[in-house]
Amino acid sequence: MPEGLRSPTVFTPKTVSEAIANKLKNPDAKFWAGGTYIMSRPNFYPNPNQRDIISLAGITDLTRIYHADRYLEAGAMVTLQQLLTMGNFIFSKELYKAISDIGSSVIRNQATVGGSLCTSDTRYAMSCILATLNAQAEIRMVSKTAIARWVPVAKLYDRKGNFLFADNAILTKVRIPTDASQQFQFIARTLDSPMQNPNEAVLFGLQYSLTQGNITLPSLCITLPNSCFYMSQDFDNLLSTISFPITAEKIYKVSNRLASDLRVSVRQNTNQLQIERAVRLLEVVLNEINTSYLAG
Amino acid sequence: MRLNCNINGSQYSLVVNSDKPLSLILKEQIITFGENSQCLGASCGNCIVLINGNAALSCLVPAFKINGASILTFEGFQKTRFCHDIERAYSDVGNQPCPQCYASKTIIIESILNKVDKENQNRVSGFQFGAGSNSDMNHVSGANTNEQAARSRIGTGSISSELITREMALSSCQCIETAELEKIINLAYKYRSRRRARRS
Repeated sequence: MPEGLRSPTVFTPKTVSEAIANKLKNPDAKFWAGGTYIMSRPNFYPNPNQRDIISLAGITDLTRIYHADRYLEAGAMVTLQQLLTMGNFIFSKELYKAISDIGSSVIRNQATVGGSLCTSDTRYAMSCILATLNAQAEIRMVSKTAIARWVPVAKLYDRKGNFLFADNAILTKVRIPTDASQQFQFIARTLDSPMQNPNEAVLFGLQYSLTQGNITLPSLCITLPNSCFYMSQDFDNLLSTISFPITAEKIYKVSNRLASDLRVSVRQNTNQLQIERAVRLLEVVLNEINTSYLAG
Repeated sequence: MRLNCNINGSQYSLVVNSDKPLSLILKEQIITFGENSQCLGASCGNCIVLINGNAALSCLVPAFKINGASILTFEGFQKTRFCHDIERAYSDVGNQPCPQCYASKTIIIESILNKVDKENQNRVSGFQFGAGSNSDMNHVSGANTNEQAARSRIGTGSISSELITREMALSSCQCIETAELEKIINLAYKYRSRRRARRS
């Protein structure tokens, strides 16, 4: 053991209430799900200021998957691989592919649903995918009284991508709608590897419905790891004014608006390549929808 | 904290920091481990090991999670008969990964073979029905597959290139082409299936 380095105490609660009690007794302790994000921080070890750990691995309630007619409810400690195995028969092909593109099975076996949503740099595609699909997350507040509430995944982050419930809550469940695939189309794209190259990667998700050549009920989410979590009602309204076939001028106008929105939203020192990539991805997706519309 | 674990068949009792990454523990115990791994958690893929038979990046596994676990590094895996299937496939195709990523790519290939094997076993046992277009394997499908027929078909198909590309993306080294890797993995899978058929 290196000199001057304290070994953090590891708490292993068996229930969520126990985990909350541990956190109340040790406010500096951090919740530990899969650990893929925490351990990939450059200053993780050795770190003299290491905080105690509350490992959530022993809480069986958080490892359950429940499938109802209209949604799939996954506990926070369900691994992405388990979610994928279950989703094989439930999710649409696009959604299945989007989750499997997050990483190889080695990463998916370790990364958990809750952990991948509770990262402060939105490095995993899960936040983008689930926000696009209007998924909900159950949040248990760290307080003496049991307070739980369902929050849309999109509301878990601010515009810069900061996780808003970092130290005062536990994310316990995620509810993913599964009935939308008949009504809506879902497109997800990932450029570059968000794990290996977070400063250049772009995650893009769009859910929409096409009615008589018009986009209806669009939901667009773009995440630039380390920089921005972009989801805007105004921009969704702009998308819903689009009717197909679309002209090149209209695509240019929409993408220009996205570029200016992103420049306002991103953190300082953001790689301009990420913004450029996000804008071009939107253009490509609009062109793809246009092509498939024209092809009938 | 004190932890007991099995590394490459030898029992170890160690006193380490509870948050120390497994990769650093292994570097101290096995001199040759992780010589090429300097990413410190950025998923370069070079520190991959098998923990209780499942592949994991050792730089992302803390010490408190390996208490009582059985860890197999490439040095230990090399001595098993499973490694010989993969090495035989390397020599048959006439290509192999560079020394930098030889260990990690071999273990990733092993994890792919394990994954496909497990899927097949599940399908044959009837745990999974109606394998659709999402399936990673492009063989052995159908809801009412007769068990015997399914067993006879295992090992005769090929592993989808999509699965191979996705899994091999973990290793950032581009020393070997995907087409060659596909050949190697499919050959290794064939040898593995033949071995299993002989045993059963």
